[in-house]
Amino acid sequence: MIGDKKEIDNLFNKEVGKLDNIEFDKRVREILEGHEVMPDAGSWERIASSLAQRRRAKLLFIRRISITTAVVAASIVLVLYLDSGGDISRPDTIQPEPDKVVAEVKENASDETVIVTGETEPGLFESVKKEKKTYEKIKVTESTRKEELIAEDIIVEEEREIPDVKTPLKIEEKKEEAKTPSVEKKKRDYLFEITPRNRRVKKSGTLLALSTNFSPSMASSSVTLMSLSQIKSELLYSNVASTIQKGQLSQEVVSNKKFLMPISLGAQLQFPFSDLFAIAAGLNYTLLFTHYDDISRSETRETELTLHYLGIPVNLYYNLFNRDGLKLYVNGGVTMEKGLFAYKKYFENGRRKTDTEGIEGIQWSVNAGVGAEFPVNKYTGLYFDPVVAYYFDNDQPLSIRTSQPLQFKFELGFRFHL
Amino acid sequence: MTTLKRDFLNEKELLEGCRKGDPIAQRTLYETYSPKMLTVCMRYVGERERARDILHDGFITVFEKIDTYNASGSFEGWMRRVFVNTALMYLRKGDVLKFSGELDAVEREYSVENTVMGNISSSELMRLIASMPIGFRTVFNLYAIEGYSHQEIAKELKINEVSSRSQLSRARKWLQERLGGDR
Repeated sequence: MIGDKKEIDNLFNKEVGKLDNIEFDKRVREILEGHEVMPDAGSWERIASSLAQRRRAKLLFIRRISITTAVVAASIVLVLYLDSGGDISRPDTIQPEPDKVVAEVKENASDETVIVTGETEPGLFESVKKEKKTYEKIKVTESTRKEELIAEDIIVEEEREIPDVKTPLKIEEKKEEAKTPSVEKKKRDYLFEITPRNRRVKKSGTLLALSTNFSPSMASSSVTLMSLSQIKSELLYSNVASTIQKGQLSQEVVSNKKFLMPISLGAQLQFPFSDLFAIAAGLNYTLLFTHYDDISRSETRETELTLHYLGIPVNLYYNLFNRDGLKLYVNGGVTMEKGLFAYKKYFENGRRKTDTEGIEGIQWSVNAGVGAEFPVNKYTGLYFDPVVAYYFDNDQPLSIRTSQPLQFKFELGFRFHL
Repeated sequence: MTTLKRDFLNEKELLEGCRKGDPIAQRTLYETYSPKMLTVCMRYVGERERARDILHDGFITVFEKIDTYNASGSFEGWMRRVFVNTALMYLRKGDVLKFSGELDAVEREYSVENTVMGNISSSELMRLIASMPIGFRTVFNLYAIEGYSHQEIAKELKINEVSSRSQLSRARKWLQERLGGDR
């Protein structure tokens, strides 16, 4: 019935020269079809400039990815190379055939080179050059038979104890044992597969640490962390203050602050100056991201603020435990950070604008924490340092650090024993 | 506007140039379509300044996503869709698509004389559409001009189909009233 009524109405409208809905829409389309509005002068230049900027950003992104990939690849290569035994550090290594061992022992007994190997596999016979005066103290056995026995024992079984025969081999082993009592004999469980010859964790002076740092801290309920995926939806559909709320405002306020977890990447050199203490200094890059609304009577301005910082951390380490490459320590120090630049993207009454400006002043912070380093191979350790840091009020742009000066940070990285 | 020497024989060649990021091709494409696309933007936001921003963002999207155009339909249709989506994104962002008390504003039914529609200029009609309440304008634009179905509009604007129909009906009446319609 309703359909019939509409049809009759439409027919009636047509008869008296009035338009039905379909006709009306069609007429509107026809009238608007040829309508064109010329853009403002300079409109293309704006688009061209944005395209160029985005192209540059894309290139920069690709470059950053390439550099990151290269750094990761170089780190892996470094780890693998060091894991392979560090051939450069063993220039005097020779690999005599097993049946020639005895003869070599005899020949070398009075020479500068002494057989010190205890390994069984071919290639594990090593001769290490030592100072001649060191070996003058060693009582070299005269018995060829004993040397043969030693050689046989060496070949047959790695872990087998050699009878109480005083040979250069035995003495050398004992000296090594005295230095690292449990490292040589005990098999340990490393994170990575290791070969017998790289079991011993290198005890060195300088350490190079490559690390990344996260601060997933929420010490205050006024601070809200958000995930990356949240940002886009926040920007597209964020609720702005109502007209009534705006009317109640006396001045511009910043509200609805949200932060992404700060991320740092860095490298630092650690110099042990005793068995217990070490000092470290380095360079790190930190990225801070904040999203907030500037609300005033007249407008609501959503802002995305990205801050880039370069910092120099100086830390003191105190070893609590250090055995078989496993280290536990406490650390504390100070970090000085200089803001490189602040990139601001804001939406003013629905229109997007961007701005880049410098960051004045220095951000100072102090930190303290505990840490643990696990051996990966002879030259590499994986470390994890949970740290509490306090950021001083140095008049820096809004970030999670200004909203919540006390931060919990988790540093994870590799230490290379150089 | 500066007139460029047209180095492109046809649309296919022009699009190929744009795909390769050729600035001349991009500018030619802009000059060819920007007046039409600015009209689309103005129909949705009703204000030149915002329409200019949408035009800017729309062209950035067009140049960055031009690889996704598969030539199955007309390029102008594809471009228009990009601009409509960009405009809708702007409107969603400002929360202006939450249709408020506008719904009660028009209750009387109108029809419009054929002769009135014949006399009105495109600029006058554009002005009227621009001054429509935003909810009416958006649904009217999508349905009457772009040819979206109520189902598509409901999905796009996150409203139900009944609301879309109701908005359209009231939008028509609003427009007809201002076009000098009578009962």
